Amino acid sequence: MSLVAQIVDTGDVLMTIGASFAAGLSVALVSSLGIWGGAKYVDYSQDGRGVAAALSLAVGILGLLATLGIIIFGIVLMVSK
Amino acid sequence: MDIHLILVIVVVSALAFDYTNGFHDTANVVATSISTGAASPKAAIAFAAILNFVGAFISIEVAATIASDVVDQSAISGPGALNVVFAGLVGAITWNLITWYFGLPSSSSHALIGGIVGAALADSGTQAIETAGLVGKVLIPAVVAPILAFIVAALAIGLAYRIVQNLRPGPVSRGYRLGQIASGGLLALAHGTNDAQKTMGVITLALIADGVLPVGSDPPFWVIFSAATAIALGTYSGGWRIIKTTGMRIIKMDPAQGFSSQGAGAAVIMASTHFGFPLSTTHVINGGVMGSGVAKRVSAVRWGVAGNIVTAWVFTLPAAAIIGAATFGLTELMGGASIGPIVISVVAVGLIVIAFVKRARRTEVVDVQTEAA
Repeated sequence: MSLVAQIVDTGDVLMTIGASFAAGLSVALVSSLGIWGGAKYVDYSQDGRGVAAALSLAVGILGLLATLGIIIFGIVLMVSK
Repeated sequence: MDIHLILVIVVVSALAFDYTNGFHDTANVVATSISTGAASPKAAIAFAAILNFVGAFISIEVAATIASDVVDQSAISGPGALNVVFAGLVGAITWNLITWYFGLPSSSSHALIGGIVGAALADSGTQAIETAGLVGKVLIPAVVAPILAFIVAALAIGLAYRIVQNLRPGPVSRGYRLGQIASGGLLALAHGTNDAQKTMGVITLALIADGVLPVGSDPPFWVIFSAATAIALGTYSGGWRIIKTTGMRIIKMDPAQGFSSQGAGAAVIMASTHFGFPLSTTHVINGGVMGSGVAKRVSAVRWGVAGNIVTAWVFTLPAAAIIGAATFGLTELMGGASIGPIVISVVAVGLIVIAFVKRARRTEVVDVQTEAA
């Protein structure tokens, strides 16, 4: 075990695993919420439900902005080393 | 004078390898966007080529790993040092061409590392190998990364389906197709970042071996620029033929699966690049595609293809190492100066031309038979 620990930088490997999970899942989550918001906005608008449509649109826009934010943050983080 | 001629041959060979790497990997980067209809082939390939070029400038961590953590720079410096790098490149290019000819999925990155390790072993024995770097920065990440991409993609698509499951499919598909422009772009950027750096690392190793750069140097700007250009040109020019084949073989994916697999692949490659792990981007992308497929239906994944990838993974490092070692032995038999690399380069170019012609004829015959059927 100690030999493996000497050869493998477990800290970097674990950080890679953690960062991959965090980035991959957070992008999937916020972009899906963005798509949900956009699709619901169309449906609610057609039904004449103004408040629900506005709230859905806000979720959609926030999801889109969060997706872009995570992508930019990821690139900046990679460049920063 | 002799040494500098070999340096030129090594740099040209490395850039040729980089070009074939882009040529070979275009399909991996853009196939999901094309198969889901997120982008036209022309736009997807041009976009990928540009982002491959840009990506090459983002980081030099992987180049540093290739240049300093795989073989001991001081152990291979000396008159035969450039022949080690040359033989390693020949090992990688030869193995790539053999696997391309027989249609086997293989990793250009593993072939490159295997070739260099084999040639260094033939030159200086085990003392030339940085065992800790090779195991810790190459072999362990090589095993972990595709599995990681598989799991992240499977969880991501599960999450996405859960959120959008009750919505009308039309807007959802449109949304994920739009998202694929971003995820595909990110994947191309990540691919350029990780793969172009391997060539930068090899050229830097050659420059150090030749005494042009001191031990421990980072790649100079002209090396970064030329590697970026070679991979981008390879991506743009190679894509057309390979896309045609891959587009027909790829699993039918919906846009959400394409988005999830690209996002997972990009996340794993970018995180690994940050820590300087030289990955097989091919294996990571395939891992992501399989993960997003298995989350929908286990039988959606072609497990035979997965088995071929594992088999090729097992054989690539040792096979390229054997070819690299044998090539180094040949250069030594020819006197160890530039005559060996020149003769081997001429023979290699001849063999490559013959292989391309034979392969093109075989493809034409298959096309005619397919049309007749």
